[in-house]
Amino acid sequence: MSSGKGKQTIITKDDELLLQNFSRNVTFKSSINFYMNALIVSVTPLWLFWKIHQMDPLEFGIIWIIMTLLSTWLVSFAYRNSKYVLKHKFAQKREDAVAREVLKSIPDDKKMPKKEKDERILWKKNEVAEFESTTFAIFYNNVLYIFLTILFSFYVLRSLNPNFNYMLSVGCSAGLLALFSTGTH
Amino acid sequence: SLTCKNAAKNINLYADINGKTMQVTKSEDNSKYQYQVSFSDENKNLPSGRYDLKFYDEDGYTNLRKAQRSGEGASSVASLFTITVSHPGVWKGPMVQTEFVAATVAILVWYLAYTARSKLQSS
Repeated sequence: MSSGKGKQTIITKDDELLLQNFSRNVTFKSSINFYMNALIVSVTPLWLFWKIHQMDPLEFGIIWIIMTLLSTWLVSFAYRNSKYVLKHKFAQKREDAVAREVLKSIPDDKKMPKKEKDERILWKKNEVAEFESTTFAIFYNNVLYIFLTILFSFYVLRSLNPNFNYMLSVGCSAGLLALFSTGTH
Repeated sequence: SLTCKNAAKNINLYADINGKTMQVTKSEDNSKYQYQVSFSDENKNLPSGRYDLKFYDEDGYTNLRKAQRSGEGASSVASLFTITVSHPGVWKGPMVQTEFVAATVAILVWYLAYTARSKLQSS
């Protein structure tokens, strides 16, 4: 455990692992994964507006780039928040199964101290929860983004000209996604 | 193509289409389709179905006009020949709008995802 000596606080490796497990921060690899997925989903409505609404890419290219970048940032923000909320739930749900699997993988003849076993279980549980929460956060937010974009562009804003339709539907969808992700439930 | 028993050629033909009478145009340049007639109307006045186009020569046309003036109707005058045209009708658009299908699928998939997330968060 951490110990305080005067004004200095020493954080042990265990504390670091615990902080990492419960932190909102994501690793660099995870961050890249989020941004790539967010970029792909933000680019998807462009096809709709190009082919169905007949928007010219050369004329509206700048607007498209700006809105795509904004949408990418907001969607990845939503991914991060959703993943943080879901990770703990996945960890709780998979706890028993992960523990069983880790204990089964340790050979019977190998004598391992309980602390090491617990560490392995914790590490594996963190890994599984990280993967499942990331995947589910991406899936859920993508589905919600596509649904909101279809709803705004086809129904709510259908009478607007394509340029404003695009800006508002993509902006509002990404904005609402970011807003909903900040909720705790 | 049609041929007359008395080998008559280059006769004037008249057509009675859907109650409207019109002269059939003759084209000497077009050897394949020498006689051509067309008719058009709003879609609601031409529903899908079979249309009988009755053709008359000069005498038949005169008798037809007499019958129409006296109120007897075109059926009392025998036509030279009849051609039946089958009109399949026009496409009035899809039964279900594509954006409705897209929105329905999107909402359904979102609902499944939302249910899964709610189950997870409540456990």
